[in-house]
Amino acid sequence: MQFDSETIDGILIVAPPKMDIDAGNADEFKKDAASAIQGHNNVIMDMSNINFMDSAGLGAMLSVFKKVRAEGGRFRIFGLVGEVKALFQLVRMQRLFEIHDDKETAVATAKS
Amino acid sequence: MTSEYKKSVEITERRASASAEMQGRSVLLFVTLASIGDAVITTDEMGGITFLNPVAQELTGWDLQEAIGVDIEEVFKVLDEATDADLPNPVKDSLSLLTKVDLPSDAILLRKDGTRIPVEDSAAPIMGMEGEVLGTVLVFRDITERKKAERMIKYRSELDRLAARISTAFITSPVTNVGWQIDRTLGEIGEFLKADRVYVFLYGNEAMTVIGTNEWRAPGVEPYHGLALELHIDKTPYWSQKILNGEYVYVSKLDDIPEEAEAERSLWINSGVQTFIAVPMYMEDQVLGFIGIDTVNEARSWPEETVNLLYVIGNVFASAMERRDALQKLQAAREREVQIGVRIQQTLLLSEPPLAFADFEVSALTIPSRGIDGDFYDFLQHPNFCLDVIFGDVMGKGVPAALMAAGGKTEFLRSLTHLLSGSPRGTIPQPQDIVNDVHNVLTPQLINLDSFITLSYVRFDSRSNKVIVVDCGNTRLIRCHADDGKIEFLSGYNLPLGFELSEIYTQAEYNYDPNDVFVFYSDGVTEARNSSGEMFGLKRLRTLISDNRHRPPDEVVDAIRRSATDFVGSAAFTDDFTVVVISIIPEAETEPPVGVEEIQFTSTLSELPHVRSFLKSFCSSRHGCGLSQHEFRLLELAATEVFSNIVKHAYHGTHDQFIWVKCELTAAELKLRFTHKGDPFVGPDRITLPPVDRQKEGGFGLYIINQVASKVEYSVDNEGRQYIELTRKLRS
Repeated sequence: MQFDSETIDGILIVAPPKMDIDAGNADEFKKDAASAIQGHNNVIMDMSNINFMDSAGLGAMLSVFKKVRAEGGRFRIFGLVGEVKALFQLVRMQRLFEIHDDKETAVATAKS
Repeated sequence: MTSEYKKSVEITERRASASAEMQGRSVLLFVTLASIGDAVITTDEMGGITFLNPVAQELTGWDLQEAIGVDIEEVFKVLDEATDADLPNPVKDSLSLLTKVDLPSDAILLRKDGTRIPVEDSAAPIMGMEGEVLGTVLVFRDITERKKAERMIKYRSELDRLAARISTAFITSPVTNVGWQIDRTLGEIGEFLKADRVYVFLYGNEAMTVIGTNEWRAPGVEPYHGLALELHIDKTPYWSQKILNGEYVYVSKLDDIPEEAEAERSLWINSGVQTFIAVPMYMEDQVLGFIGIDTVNEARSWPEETVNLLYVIGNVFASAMERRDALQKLQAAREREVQIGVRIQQTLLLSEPPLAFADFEVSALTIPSRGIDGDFYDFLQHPNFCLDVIFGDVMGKGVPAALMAAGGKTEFLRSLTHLLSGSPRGTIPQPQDIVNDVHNVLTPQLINLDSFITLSYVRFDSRSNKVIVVDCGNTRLIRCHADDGKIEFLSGYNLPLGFELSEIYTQAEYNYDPNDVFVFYSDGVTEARNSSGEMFGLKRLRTLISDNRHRPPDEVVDAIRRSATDFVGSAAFTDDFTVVVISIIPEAETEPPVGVEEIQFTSTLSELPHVRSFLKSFCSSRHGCGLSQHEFRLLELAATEVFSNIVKHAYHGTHDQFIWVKCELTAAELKLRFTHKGDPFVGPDRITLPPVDRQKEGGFGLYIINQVASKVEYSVDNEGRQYIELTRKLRS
């Protein structure tokens, strides 16, 4: 799957394509996301294309997050759609991820 | 050569040249008289002076030469000290009476220059061999020092008597009279010291200001400038510094004011002060204020002993004020305590249980004790079939415990409101999140106060038949099993709130049978004693609950009340007796389905989107099945989790098997049934969220399923078909 990416002031913003992430494609997502952010340590992921995510998808996200953090970087996300947001809240992922409402606030905090 | 000796030599020389006729007298006598310590004057038989020794010359102020031949009344004038009236001259009296004459004890010699000296003297006639009168000898001495010493002794004993009288008055009079007693004492001191004003000033505002509280004034004297005004100590830096250091200030004349006291000088001049003493008043090591005395009409010098008196009186005042304040505070505190305690308990601690719940029946009982306990409970009803119960007890008794309990309760409400505002619509924060939030705020305060709270935060979810318990050291939640009456204590491992800052509170989940009964009770229940000291005990309580488990909560409560009051009898309850009983209202009868569909899928994860599509089309063709969009999303999530678990764990990734998904809707619930023929995998009935930060990315699936579904059932039929059924209760 092809991730869109742009760089603003050294901050990498990646966006997966429109998709549901479940146990069927979570591994693929994990692999592609990892290569999309390779070499960056200030990363923001745009989640607005992800309409559904299950626990396997969540595992993939955790893996990406840990990879960035292991290299001393910061990982932020924004644009969670209702369904994904519900999952994140259910398993209290807001404790772990820096979740922002939109791109502007995510970028602003990444800059500061 | 000492000056006295030199003087006496000079005088001796003068005398030698002055009077030749004296040389006829006995040289021995003359030398004796000249060197004697007392003043000696001799006269002839008419009273004319024939000789003055040097001391007499010094005291009278007359030279030997000018005095010789002068009448004794001219040189030796004596007055009565008290009246200033002339006293009869002792020499003249002695000549006329021919006997020794003593002066009255308070005689004053008026010297040549007009100054006065207190003297003691006697005159005696000098008789010749034949009894003829030759003259007189007058012997006298200066008694200034002795008089002074006598006065001081007298003054000191008067001071002592005054101090003793004042102390006694303060000790014997009730502390409520302290203000009046101080006023009276100031008057006594003022009159005794002949002061114009005596006053008490007290420091306030952390000794930054001083305010006059009591004052006595001599008749016609104006009040002290600044009395009843709060003076900042900056206005009197010199004076304040001395007083606060525990030193006294004594200004006998304004001219004596030290340079650093310029600020005070103008204050004193404005108030017309001439002489001034201020002495600190102490309570233990703390300076409370000072006693001041002053004069305005003339300068006066008080002996240093006066300062000691004022120190003593200051101590007496300070301790009386301290006793008065302490008593007043104590009385007020006692009264307030009783009133506040009663009000807190009635209004804040023991909320009325909600009368009507859709899904629960609740009954509460409190038999108040004479004291005030820190027992509290609260009920929070959520819109999604959940009831939260907070049941706790603050360590200790009385108002502090009650206040803490009230504060703790409020904190839970605050936390819930706070966390709700960050939760999506239709969801409520987890009990452990609420407790942790409260813990973060409350525990530092509790540690400071050396107190702690034991409580249970319990959520009953009537749709999933789950009870979530966060146990903060409270082990008094009973679940009574409906079928066999078995008593189970629902508790966890967490510490009471206020024990440990780093404690992280975790919740435990239990599934229950809808007919089970839950009972919270305070320690006042099991520890209630009858008149012979026996405790009500847990065994009685367990039996009561067990025996009455099929009856509604208010009847269970009633049975406990009757049993406890019978047991305690005439004895009073020493602790609050608090019981809360909760049961779940049974579900309505099962209704026939209003829609059923079942589809067969292959055992591959790529079917997952199709499973979700099936679920979506089933619900949307039935008006969303009464689920909110959020609820539907969670159900879709749970279905995905079940399906992928079957693929992975039942079929171990084998792709050529089948999974059947059935949706069944009734008026009360939506059921999703997954059927497979793989290995059974049974979900634990108590599942907690794995720690999010562990190096592990799985483990969420079962948790999600359990969270979303009201009920999850696993079963198997005779032909080896495995069923996993998720039930989601719907709003009526």
